Amino acid sequence: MKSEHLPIIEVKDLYVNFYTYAGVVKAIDGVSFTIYRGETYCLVGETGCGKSVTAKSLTKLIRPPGRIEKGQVLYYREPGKEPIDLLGLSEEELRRIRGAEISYIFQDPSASLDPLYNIGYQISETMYDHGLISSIKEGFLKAVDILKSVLMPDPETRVKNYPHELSGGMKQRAVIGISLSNNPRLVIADEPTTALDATVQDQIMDLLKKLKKEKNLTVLLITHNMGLVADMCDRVAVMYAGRIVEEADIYELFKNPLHPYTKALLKAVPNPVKKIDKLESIPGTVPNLIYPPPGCRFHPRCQYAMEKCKSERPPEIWVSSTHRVSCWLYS
Amino acid sequence: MSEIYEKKLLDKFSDALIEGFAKFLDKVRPGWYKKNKARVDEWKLMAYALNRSPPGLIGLALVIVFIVLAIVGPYIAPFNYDTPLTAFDRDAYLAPPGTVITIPNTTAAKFLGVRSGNYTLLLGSDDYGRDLFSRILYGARTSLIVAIMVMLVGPWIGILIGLVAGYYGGKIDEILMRFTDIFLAFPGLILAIAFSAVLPPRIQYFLNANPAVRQFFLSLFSLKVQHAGSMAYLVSVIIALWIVWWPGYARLVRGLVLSARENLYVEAARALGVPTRWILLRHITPNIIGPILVYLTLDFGGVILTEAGLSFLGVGAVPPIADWGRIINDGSQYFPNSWWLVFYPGLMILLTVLGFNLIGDTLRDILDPKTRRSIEFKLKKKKQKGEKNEV
Amino acid sequence: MAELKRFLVRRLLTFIPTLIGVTFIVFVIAAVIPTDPARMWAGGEKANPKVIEQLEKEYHLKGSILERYYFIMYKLFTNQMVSPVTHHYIWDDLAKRFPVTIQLTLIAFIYIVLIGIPLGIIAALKRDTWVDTAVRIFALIGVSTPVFWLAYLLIFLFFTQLGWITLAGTPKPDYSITGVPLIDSILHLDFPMLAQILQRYSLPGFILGFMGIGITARIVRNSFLDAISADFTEFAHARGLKKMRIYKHILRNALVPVITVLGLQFGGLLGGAPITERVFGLPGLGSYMLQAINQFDYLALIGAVFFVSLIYLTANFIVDILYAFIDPRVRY
Repeated sequence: MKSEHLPIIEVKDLYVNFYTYAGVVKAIDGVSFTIYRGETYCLVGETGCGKSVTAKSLTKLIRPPGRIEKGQVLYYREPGKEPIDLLGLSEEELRRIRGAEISYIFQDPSASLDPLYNIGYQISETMYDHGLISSIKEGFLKAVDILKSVLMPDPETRVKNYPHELSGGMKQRAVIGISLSNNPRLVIADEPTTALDATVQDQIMDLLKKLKKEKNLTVLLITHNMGLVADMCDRVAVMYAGRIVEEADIYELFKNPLHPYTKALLKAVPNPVKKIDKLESIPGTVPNLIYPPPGCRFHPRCQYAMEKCKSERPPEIWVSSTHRVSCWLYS
Repeated sequence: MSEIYEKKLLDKFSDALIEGFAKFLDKVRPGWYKKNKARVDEWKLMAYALNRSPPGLIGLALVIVFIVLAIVGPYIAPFNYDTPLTAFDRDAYLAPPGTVITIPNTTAAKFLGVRSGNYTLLLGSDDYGRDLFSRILYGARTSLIVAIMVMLVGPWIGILIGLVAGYYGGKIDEILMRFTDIFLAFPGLILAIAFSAVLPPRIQYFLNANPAVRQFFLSLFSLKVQHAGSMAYLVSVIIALWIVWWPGYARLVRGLVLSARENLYVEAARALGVPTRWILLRHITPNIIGPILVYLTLDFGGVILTEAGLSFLGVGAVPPIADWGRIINDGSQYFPNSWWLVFYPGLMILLTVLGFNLIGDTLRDILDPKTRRSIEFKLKKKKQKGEKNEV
Repeated sequence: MAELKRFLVRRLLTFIPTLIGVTFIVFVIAAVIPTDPARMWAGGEKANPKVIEQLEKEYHLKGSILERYYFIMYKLFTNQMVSPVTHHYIWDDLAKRFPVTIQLTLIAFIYIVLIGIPLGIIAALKRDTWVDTAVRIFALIGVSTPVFWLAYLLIFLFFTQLGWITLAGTPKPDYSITGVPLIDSILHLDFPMLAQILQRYSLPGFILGFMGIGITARIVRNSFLDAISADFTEFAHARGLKKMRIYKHILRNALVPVITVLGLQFGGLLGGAPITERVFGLPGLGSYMLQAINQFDYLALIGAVFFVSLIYLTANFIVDILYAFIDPRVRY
């Protein structure tokens, strides 16, 4: 942990529902966490556990049929000063923050870029709309520098290329370039390497690490890849079925996982810290969030489940100043 | 699966219909029912969805009325399609709807097969004194037969070409698609007009040389022998529409096959050396049958509309054949005074074509997996409500 | 832009085999021509055998297939084909009638674009409401209506009852720039002329475009919805672009499939022209075809078919170029 515990984002008691034909999906169910300045904070969990929805909720990017029901996202613009609640801002106020102060990198770079405009234009317009430059033409010159900084090969030519003329890795570099073009404070990287080839994944993560150091960024990394977590993160929150079940310092989590789900998860993937002999899968299936299990949402799959787990939601228990868990085993 | 929904009277009816059809298939091929139980349930589910879609039901009703009229029309029509009532009553000349005419008891009447007495001309009559109501009933038959004849051949040429091009790819695909492009270089209706215009003499010659075929078509169209010459024009329209109605299907099916081929199980089947015929039948057909069915339904209406247009232009049906488009063409010179000659046949075309389009549009929703789930959900919700009421 | 040039050259090259194929089909139409056209041209049953013989020789009616094909194509391409019925050069007649049809199609096209596209956008923005349903039903009625029937109903309303439109004559200014009166009168700022043209052509144009309006609205709606829910739109929001700019991205992406549809619509309009011209008595290419059919002037008929397909091919070519301009993916 860095930067003397000055928070940049504080999420408090967030609830998000999706109103689908099949019923109301309770996608995020009372999530709270804090991201500190300069750190890399990780959200991990299986597909569909609500990581991405949480990330998008931070700047109200949730679109119908989704709706943020309740909660606060406190954003500390200047260290130590009064925070603002992002969820209470108007659309225009939020727009000024998105991309300029808080920016995103999404999973699939091929889909993130508009296929009809070249890379330079898409970088330029992002700067132009935040008032960083006075003309799109000027933006093209700056875009070359930006592409250089994200290690795009041959940036002078690439700036005029269209997305379909670039490889997957180059596209993601371009997306990163767009995201960093306005020198944001917080970068939210939502599975930034999942759609890429394995060899390119490493390059992109190295780039992110390098940029984070150079620009002194705060990063919220969303992933299901435990290897990435170990490599990048300072602190980790494990999500399951729309709730955070455990949050800890990176070493603490890998060495001393407390929640049965975290334990199971670590046994299911190669552990970068502790050597395990055999990988095990987690029995059971991800619950249906239209009719989520009552009490602890993990109890149907939990081998330590007690009667209490089936009816009462487990409280948040701080086992140390950097480690909290939501489980009746520790109360 | 079908048991979870609350059944209405209509559902029970459609269930019985589908069951009956399945039993029939079972009789033809013993063991079919057992093997295809899931498919029969799927059909029932689709029927439930259709039963709950007002546009679909309206469309179905319109189409059923049309088909019934086309089948029984010639038998229930008060007059024949070419009976000139002006020969008996001067009032029958361009008579407005509701005109009452009197037919005297003469030999001429007997000769024309008309019984004497008073008749009300429901929809009026034309300049030959022919009863519009009767002609519209005969016209339904004309439309239906042309549409069936076109749909039985035209699209299937395209489907076959599309299947072959999409499945084999490479050179074959290239050649077939270039061939298709050539036909697509003409606006369809223009090509149809040209072929309908130049074909009739040859068709006439052909029909005269093959009396059996001629008789077959005469009875299908419910026409008198002396009008076989005029019928050749209708047959020409059918052939002209074969020529223009396949390229669209070739494109469509090729695209569908190409995307179906991407499926891993198709690739796996090919790698395992499953025979081509089997792959096409078992793995590709189920994927492409939905959209094809939708287009066939929509085009049934499209053919009726196009045929009416050709007849309106004078290159389709010729007098005295009763054809909706032709009636409008002949009646247009008396418009707007004798408005009924234009209004009623046009209304019939509109309602019939709309019927097919409503069904097609509803089918598209039912067969599309994206919209399908919402329909199933609505069905379930009704069921839940029903349960609460019982409690 | 070098790619664009290469794309154009390639597109032109695929044009050639299609054109050859088109001439082939035109010839097939000529080949199924009724067995004894020379007799009809010479005046029917009582025709002078010498005249018949001369016509047969002049038009190579008894020649081999290859000879006939060569004759027809050579004469058509060099504008030497003379109609045996009217004794006019066919190509000249077609050129005279071309402005009427193109004017009609242009006006129909304007209706399609001005009504169809906004309707589609409104339906997309009001998705799953009664507005969306209304547009859907309108589109279904559009493809189900026999336009000649609708034409008579509207003639009754606007001509017989209201007297807003004219049904005779073809207004033509005495100056000519492009040869199309509608465009010429606008270029000349000749508003009385323009008003006359619109009085004569606005209803036929609407009738011709009627089917296309609904189809276009549906396609625009669907492609607009696709673009709104696309990932790049979400990313555009996420990087804080201004609302208008996001709409620009959505609109341009939604336009790509719409252009294809509009191109296809153009073929539909050319095909529908005979019906509209017949109802409104406009002397365009469609009525030329019908007249040729009535007079057994089959050479004029195939000339017209060939001419229309050339227009359509050219239109498709233009659509492809537009497509390449708007979508960089097709100009590889």
